[in-house]
Amino acid sequence: MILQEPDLTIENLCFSYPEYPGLPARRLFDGLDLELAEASIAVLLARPDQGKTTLCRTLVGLVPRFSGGSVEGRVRLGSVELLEHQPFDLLEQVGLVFQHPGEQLLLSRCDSEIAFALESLGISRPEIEARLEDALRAMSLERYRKESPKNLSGGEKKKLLVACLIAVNPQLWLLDETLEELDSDTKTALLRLLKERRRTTLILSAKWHELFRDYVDRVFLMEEGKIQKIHEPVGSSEFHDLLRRRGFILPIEELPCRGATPQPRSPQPPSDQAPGSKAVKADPGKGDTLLEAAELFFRYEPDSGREGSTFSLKIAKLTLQAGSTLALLGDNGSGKSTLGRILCGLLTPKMGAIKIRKNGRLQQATEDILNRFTGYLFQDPDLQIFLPTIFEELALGLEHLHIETEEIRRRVDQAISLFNLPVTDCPPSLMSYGARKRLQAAVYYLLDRPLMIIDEGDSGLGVNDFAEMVRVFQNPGRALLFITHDHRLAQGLADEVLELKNGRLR
Amino acid sequence: MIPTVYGKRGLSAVHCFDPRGKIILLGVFLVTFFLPLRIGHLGIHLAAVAVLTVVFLGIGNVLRTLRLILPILVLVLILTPPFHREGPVLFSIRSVPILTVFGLVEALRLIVRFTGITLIFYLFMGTTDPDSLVLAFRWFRLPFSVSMVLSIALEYIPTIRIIYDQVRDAHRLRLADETMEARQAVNSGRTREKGKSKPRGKRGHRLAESIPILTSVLILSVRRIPTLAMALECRGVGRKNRRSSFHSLKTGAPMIRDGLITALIAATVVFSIVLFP
Repeated sequence: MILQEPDLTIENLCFSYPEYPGLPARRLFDGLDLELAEASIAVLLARPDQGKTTLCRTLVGLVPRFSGGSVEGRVRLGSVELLEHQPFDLLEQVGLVFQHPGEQLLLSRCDSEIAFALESLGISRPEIEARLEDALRAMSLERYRKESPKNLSGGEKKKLLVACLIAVNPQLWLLDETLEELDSDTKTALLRLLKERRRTTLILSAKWHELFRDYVDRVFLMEEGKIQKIHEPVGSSEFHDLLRRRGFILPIEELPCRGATPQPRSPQPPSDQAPGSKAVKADPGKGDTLLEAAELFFRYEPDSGREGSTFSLKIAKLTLQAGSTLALLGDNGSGKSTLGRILCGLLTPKMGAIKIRKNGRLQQATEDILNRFTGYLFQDPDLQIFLPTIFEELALGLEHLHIETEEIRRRVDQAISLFNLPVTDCPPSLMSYGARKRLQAAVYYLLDRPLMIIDEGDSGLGVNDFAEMVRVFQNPGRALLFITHDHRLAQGLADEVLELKNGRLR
Repeated sequence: MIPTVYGKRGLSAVHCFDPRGKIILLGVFLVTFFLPLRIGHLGIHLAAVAVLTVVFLGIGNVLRTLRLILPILVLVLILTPPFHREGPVLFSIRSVPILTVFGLVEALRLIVRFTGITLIFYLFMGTTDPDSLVLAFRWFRLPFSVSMVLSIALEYIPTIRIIYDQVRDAHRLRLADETMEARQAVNSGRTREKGKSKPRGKRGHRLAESIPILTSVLILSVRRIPTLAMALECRGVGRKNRRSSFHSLKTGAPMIRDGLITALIAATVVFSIVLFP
């Protein structure tokens, strides 16, 4: 590949976060260098907490403007010095899709959302209409044109944000973990579109997707505040070996959690409850049916805001056995989260029954019982993390179980070490997205529910981090269901892979 | 896609009515409810607003809204009369008047006023698209930044409700053991165990349950402020050039029709105030 005149040049970029209460000042970038040719597509692989989001925000002018801290070095896009401009002045130069889509959506209709940046540029109405149509079509969002973005699933929100970028069509596209939470068809469509539009693109990701192979021109690694180019040809065995060693590809054949009987991780997870606690105890042996759902039917109410909605979820039978790990795949909007919410009692099916194992036999479960039986990690970790420090966050559930203070401290310390979390007095809001996901998982690890559901937990986590999380939750007396778009992860970590299509299990 | 009731859009006459007219009528009704009118007069205005709200937003939504303000209305009913002891005495303790006709009328006046303002805002927000609100504010010559702030603030109300629901679900799952124990205690009227707090009544329990949820919602809402600012700047808010507009307000005959209807309703309200003060 012939490298053209660089379009994006990062020279000796250094950045340090300021000191926050409970979090010491940290030098994140220590002389980053990067060159991207015009119209090239590059993937920057970095494990969680290495600064992917901070790098994106620096390039678009949000850091240090909103974060504080000090930045040094040069960043040029063509002839524009990016560090010398405000974010709103870089609208036509750099476009960013946030890792957390809920943080970027502002308006009450999808078409308004796409048109908003075009209005800021002062573009005429007919031109906005044309670009809007193009963007909606490119992301297959035509039917959601007048919908509220708040009603979209996580993957659909990302599609909408990409549509916003398509409409503006900036010179440099920054996609911060954008391919996560997208189904395979949408990922392929997006990569093809990037190739066709010939815009300079930097995709930041915590894992290597095989789909990248046919579309990307360069692959970089970011570790310990530096960026290094991978010289091995993309797709070669050396390339795969390197990524496997660095934790960007799941080494399926080496997985300890597959095929073998899952063992509780040492030290023993806290399965005991406080004396007198009414928590549901399953105590089944491996292979016993833990939960059985039959003839489930669910449909959102007609006045739910979804115009012309025909979505319904229909599950003839679903059985979860103790010691089993199930993966649930499915396109965006196919009903994966809806099924998860039904199994933990947050949504009530219109028809059908869910039975759980209680006192040695299967019994009909009400929503209250399912709430106590199932742990459910929301797609958005921020909706489950509220307290000022990690310790308070982890201790909350245990305090409500009336466990002794010393025991709480012991269990919290254990969870912090197991989930690789920072010190106990660190404010969760200042942690990276991946670290917040690990904290969210640690909260439910301590609650030790018989059934765990992880909704797109791999998004924002490296493959090894997610595999480790799965391993922690695997237990002979418990069941685990994880929702993902990653077929390789599903096949590598689960005993059984289920797929939802238009609300039906295949 | 996870639909919520908050994105609901309607095609009714009120939903499609010109937002400029709605803003004018909102102002007229707000002023009316604040004027020192007779209680009967205020009651007629309240009834008109209530009927419109029920017709266009549904009785269920109206009742839910009224349930939210019910504790405040009860407090007003209890606390207002002792401060207005003029007029015929309805209830006294040892010749100290506690409830007089005047005190009762004042309490009712405040209740009608507060309910009316709540419903008129609810009707306005429930039937008006925030995007068209920005356009309407800009038509009234408010700068874009002010219109945007107003629209985001108004839009944030349903967003907070969505966050509240999600956080409630998160708390429900996380504290399910504790919640179940407390519920069982409430339902069975169980006496308290040594060292444990007294089980609260159903209403007290619900109130106690909602405090951590509200606190969490507040924290999440505050946390959203910087990301909201980032998202706005990434979409070009702050640029010096003139903004264009994708959506547009009504023009021509529909604008004149809605303008005339607005004028007619406003005139009717003003005349009723002049004729029956």
